[in-house]
Amino acid sequence: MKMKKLDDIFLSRWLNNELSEDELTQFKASEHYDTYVNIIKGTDKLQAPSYNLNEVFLSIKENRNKNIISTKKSSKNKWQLGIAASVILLIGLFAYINFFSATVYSSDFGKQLAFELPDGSKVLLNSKSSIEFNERNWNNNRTLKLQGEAFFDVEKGNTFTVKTSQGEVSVLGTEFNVKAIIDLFKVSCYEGKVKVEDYTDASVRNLTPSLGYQNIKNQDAITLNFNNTRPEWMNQQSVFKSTPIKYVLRALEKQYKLQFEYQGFDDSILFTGSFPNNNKEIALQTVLKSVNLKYTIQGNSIILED
Amino acid sequence: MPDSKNNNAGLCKEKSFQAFFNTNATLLRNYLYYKYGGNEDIDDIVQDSFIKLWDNCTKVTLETAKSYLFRIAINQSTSLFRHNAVKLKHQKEVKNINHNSTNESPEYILEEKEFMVKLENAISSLPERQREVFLLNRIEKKTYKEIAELSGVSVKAIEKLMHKALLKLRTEIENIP
Repeated sequence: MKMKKLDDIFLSRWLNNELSEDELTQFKASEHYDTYVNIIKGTDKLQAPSYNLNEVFLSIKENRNKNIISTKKSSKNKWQLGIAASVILLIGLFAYINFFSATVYSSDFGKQLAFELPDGSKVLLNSKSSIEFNERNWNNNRTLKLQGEAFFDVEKGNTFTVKTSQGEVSVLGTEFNVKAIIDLFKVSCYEGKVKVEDYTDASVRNLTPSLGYQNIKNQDAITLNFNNTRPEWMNQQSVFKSTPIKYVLRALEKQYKLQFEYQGFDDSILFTGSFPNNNKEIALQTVLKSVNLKYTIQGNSIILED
Repeated sequence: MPDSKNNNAGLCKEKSFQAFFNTNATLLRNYLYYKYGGNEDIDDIVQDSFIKLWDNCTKVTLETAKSYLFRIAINQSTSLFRHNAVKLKHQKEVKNINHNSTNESPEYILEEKEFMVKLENAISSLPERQREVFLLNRIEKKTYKEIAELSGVSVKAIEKLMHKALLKLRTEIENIP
């Protein structure tokens, strides 16, 4: 058996676990196999520089508003025809979109949103988070994309997968919480068994009830123990354990629609504690006093001083 | 149901547009980044493409918006990057985030570091199509099918590019002493 027998896409098929047993044995015997494995291991440690979505979106909104030229047309004479035409179009469009496209649920600053998936699984979205999935194909493919934080109560069925930019979580039927914000990835299992795949270090872990997994950029991934039966944010509390303060500020921003401005203070110092989700003043005081920061409030901006 | 269920609200409303932006912007930016390297113009192209999409939101359905967006961005960047082709070769492609401390021996860590440098250089020297496909698959975890849809080619073509990319990376790395 020589390498010739392998086709011109066998490396692609290898990555997809599509090689037959014979092909795999042959490939593993080749002198280059180890290099290929190292290339994949090495590449899986790489990441594109982070990208600030909120900032970019704000600037898109600004630039767009500058460019908008009023294009209102006067169509008083034709409006009846217009309505008839748009009703037909709307019905068509609705059916079309419903058929193919992704369904998106998103929650605003400081708001939580509860909804049910087509199979009866329940989702509770924390503030400023969003979930996207294909409603029509849901029962065949229970996969959704999450940005932000959400709690899931999954009905029994085929594999249920939550994809985030940093990793994915899959289960059969259980209760769990996923938090994926910028470079923070945290999963907590409340019931059943949860499989966590972390894209950043290509690791896979299984979580059982009361166990959590947390990976913050530039820190070692850790396993957490907890004893609450629901995520704290469901009780109007945001709780942090040895979390760099910048994520806490980030959570405050999302909860209360704020913007922190600061210079020259170390935003990686660790914070352990909680803040209420329904009282801005107390929340700010609790967090900022604990790290000895003075602050002044200007509208939605909070200016921090050492 | 609350109004945030916006699958039939079209793209024009800010909320639905922002949701679309949030799910697609990072991918588009990284797609261009993997293809063309770290050039500041990439961020402008991403922004311009989203603005164009928003301006044309009435003509585009949510279903077609993604491919429309990528088409705008790719069209814009091809004219722009022809001039930057040489400059880009020297630019760092991706940054290593693996700063986690390990229990490995110093020799091993050094060896691994050297390998990562070789690997990053090899990735930079890949032809742009191969690099784009390889990094979208490995870093963005996109399937061959998803990548094929993004760039409007067949899955077979992606499989071939992927294979070529790995082959080229391997020869590059093994030929550096």
